Amino acid sequence: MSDSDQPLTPEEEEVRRLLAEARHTGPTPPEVVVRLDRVLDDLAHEPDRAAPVVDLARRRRRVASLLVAAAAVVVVGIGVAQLVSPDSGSDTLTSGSAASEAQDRGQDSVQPKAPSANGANPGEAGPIPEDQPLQDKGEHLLKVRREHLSNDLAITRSAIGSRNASDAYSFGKSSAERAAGAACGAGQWGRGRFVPVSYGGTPAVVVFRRPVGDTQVADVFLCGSSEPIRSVTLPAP
Amino acid sequence: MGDDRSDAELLAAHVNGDTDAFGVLFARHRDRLWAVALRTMGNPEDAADALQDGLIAAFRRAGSFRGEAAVTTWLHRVVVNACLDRIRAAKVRRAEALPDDLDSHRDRGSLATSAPADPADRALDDERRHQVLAALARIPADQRAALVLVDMEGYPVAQVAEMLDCAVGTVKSRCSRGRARLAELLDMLAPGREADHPAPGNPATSPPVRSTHPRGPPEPT
Repeated sequence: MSDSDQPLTPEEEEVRRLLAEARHTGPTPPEVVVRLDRVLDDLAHEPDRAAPVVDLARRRRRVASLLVAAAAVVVVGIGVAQLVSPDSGSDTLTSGSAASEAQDRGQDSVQPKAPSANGANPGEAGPIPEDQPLQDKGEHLLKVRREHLSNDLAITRSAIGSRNASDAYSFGKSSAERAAGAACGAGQWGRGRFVPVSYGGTPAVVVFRRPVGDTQVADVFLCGSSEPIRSVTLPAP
Repeated sequence: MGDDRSDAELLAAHVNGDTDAFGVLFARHRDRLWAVALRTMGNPEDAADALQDGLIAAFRRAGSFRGEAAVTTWLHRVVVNACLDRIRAAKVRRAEALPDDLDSHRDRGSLATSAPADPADRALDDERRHQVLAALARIPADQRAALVLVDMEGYPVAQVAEMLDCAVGTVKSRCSRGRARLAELLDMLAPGREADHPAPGNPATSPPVRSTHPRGPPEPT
């Protein structure tokens, strides 16, 4: 960065002057203040808003155990596929790819195709239409993508429908929260509607907060974490 | 109305359950955070969303504040991160986000000069500011954030490095590259040149060359 320590050229000085002149000096617009105050009020009245103390060691252990569990599921899945495959007996050494080969051959008995809304393989390969979050094969988790998070969360919200919509934001341990806790390990996620998802391939929970005005905040928590890794603002449903 | 508690005391009170403390703290810095969000995002709608994201993140993560930096630095960091995250995630189209806050703020002046009384001069200032903000919206978000904090808001580079969670040299580099890019984009605003004036230098047209032969049908031989 030696060049950046050099004195500014007259051209750069002029740019600095123009930027300083273009500084915004006005107050926050009243409508924004009202909106922020509403959000603050909503946050302040979350009963379990106490700042979480994150046990990093515990989180690491939990993530490690999740990875081990995921690996075990894969191994067991492959083993089961070999056992039930009608013609896998003499081909066990190459059966690491048994499932895909069987699919290519149309042998549904080996591994039923996961339901896919767009008819495509819901794996990572290939282009993914922007308007559809995908079902995670085997785990039955909605898959949300980092680069299309707002879009996928909006679709996820639509997918879970409006059931219990009014109650879900109001009560503590909803069935959805318990389900999310069971899938992900309970965390301090605050109030909202809980949806277990796969976030970029990592187990996570989305918490849809109570809509405030014309917006709704959705926080994404990785399993084992009490701090949101992402937080997006969606139009209210 | 005023709360005499320091920023750090307010944040600590919030963590300990004071339901009003965070609101007081945020209101204290709200206008400046708004200015940063507005200039980083480029338009009021996205700025409001990003500021709300930052507010929620700061509210929920207050317990993780360790006090290594000033509270205001931490708040800026949270809000700028919210802006950058929103830009990255939502792919906000900067080029389309022309500043639309000029009319409502044209009377509020600037750091460098007071608002000119002459309507013509004021219109010229507005036009220039419009072009500066439009150009700012076209440079990469990390460079834009650095320039907003350093050149617009006037924060020291070291403090901006804390806000952006990067090295001082990185901030300088981003500013340097951002200014160079802005200088290219704002070439028409270079000193001594105005937007509606012809470019300096010799005129492109040369004097007419007179024909040595009279025009008309060929003369009969």
